Amino acid sequence: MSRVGTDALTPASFGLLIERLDADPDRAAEEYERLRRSLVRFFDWRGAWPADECADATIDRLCRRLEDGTAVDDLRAFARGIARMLLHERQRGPAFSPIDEAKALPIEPGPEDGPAEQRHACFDRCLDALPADSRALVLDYYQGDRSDKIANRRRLAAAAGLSDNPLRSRVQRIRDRLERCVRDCVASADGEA
Amino acid sequence: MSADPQTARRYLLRETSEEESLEIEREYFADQRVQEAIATAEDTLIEDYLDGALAGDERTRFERTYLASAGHRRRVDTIRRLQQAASTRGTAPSVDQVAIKERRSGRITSGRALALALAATVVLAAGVATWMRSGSHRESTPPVSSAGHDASAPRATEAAPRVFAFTVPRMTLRGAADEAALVIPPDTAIVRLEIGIDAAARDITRGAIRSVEGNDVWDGPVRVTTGAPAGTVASLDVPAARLRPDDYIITVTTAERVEAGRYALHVRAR
Repeated sequence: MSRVGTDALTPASFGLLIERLDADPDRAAEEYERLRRSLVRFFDWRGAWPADECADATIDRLCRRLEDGTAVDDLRAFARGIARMLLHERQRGPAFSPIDEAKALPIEPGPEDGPAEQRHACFDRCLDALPADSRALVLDYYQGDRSDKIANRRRLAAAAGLSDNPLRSRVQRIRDRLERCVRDCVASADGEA
Repeated sequence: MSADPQTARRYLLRETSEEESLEIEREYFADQRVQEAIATAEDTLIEDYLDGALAGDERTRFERTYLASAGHRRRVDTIRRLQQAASTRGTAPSVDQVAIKERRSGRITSGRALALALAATVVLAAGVATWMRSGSHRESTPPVSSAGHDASAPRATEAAPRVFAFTVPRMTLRGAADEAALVIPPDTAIVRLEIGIDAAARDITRGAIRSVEGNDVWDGPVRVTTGAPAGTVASLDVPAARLRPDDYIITVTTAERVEAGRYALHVRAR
C-alpha cells in the first residue's frame, strides 16, 4: 500500500503527533514506537499486508488530522479508528465475513514468493547468513518434538537469563529478520531472471 | 480479555464478534503485555497447525482465514522450515537423521528420502510381516499387535521382505511437501511410514492412505512405540507397490474410529 499524497507526513504534522504523545521527547519517541508496533500488529492480525505500510499510512492520516485541527481526545482510540477505516477500505467490505462464505483460498505461499526451489535456496542462504548465536538460538528454539518443546524452551530461557516471553520475542525478531531476508533474496532472484 | 489464550486464539481465527474484537484491540493498544500474549497465542496456533494438532473445524478455519494472508503464509512457511532445519542441523539426535537400528533377525535402515545414497540392505523386522497380494485394489495388511504376536510371521526359510522406513514430516502446509518427498528404493517390498505423535495419542490403532483425489490406497493397523529417541512413533507398514508417485493423505484413527491425525505424503518417481 503506497502512502497517499494528500496524507503524506510533514515535519510539522509529525511534530504535533510527538507533542501529543508525551511532553518529554524521549518518552514520546517510546510512545510513538509503541503506537506504531500496535498498529503493525493490528493490520497483521487482521490479515492486511504489508502490515508496516498500513501502519505508516495510518500514522500519516493521524498526523494530517492533527494538522487540520481535528479535536482528538484519546489519541490511541483515534488511531485505532483510522486503522479500522483503512482496513475496511483495503478489504472493501466488512471486517468479518461468515466462514461459510469465505472463499476457499490457496494455502501455499503465493507466486510472489517464488518457486519452491528458490525459496528453499534463499532460506538456507539466509539462515546461514544469520549471526551464529542468533542461528543457534532460533534452531534450538524449534528443536524437538511437540512434547519436548516446552521443557526445551524453558531450558533455553534459563540459559539466556530470560523469562519465556522475552525469549519468544527475541526468537520472533530473528524469524522476522529471516523472513525479510528470504523475501529480498527471492525478489532479487526474480529481478535477475 | 486479560491475555486469555483461548480468546486470543479466537481473535486470530476471527471467531470473535465485532464488539469482542474492539475490546481486545483497545486492550492491546493500551497494554503491551496483552499484545505479547496474543503474539504467543499466534505462535502456539501456528505450531499446533504444523504439528497436525488442530481439530477439523479449527484447522479449516486456520487455513481459510489465517492463511488467507500472504504474510501469514510466509510466516507459517518460515516456522515450518525452521522446524525442519532444527531437526536436520540440530545437535540432538532425531528420527530424521540417518540411524541404523539392529533388531533380532535383521536390520532396518531408516532415514529421510534425501539420504537414499546410503546403501539399503535386505531387512527383516522381528514380529512384522506383510505380503503383497496380487489382483486386489485395496487390501489390509495382516494384523500386527504391538505386543509382537503375529500369526502371519514368515517362516525362517522364506526370503525376508525388504523394508524401507521413512519418517513422515510433521509439516502439513501444502505446497511444501515436495521438499520432503519419499523416493522408494528399487526392490523395496514394504515402506514403513513412521510418524511422530503425541504421547497422549497412544490409542491410535488404524491408519489409512488416500490419494489427494480421494482414491483409497491402503488401510491397516498402526503400531505405536514409545521410549524411542524420537518419542512416541506410529508406524504403518505399506506395500511399496501401493505407493506410486503421487500425493497422499495419511489418516490415523483410534479404535473408536476417531481421527487422531492427518499427514501429507509426497511420493516421487525414482
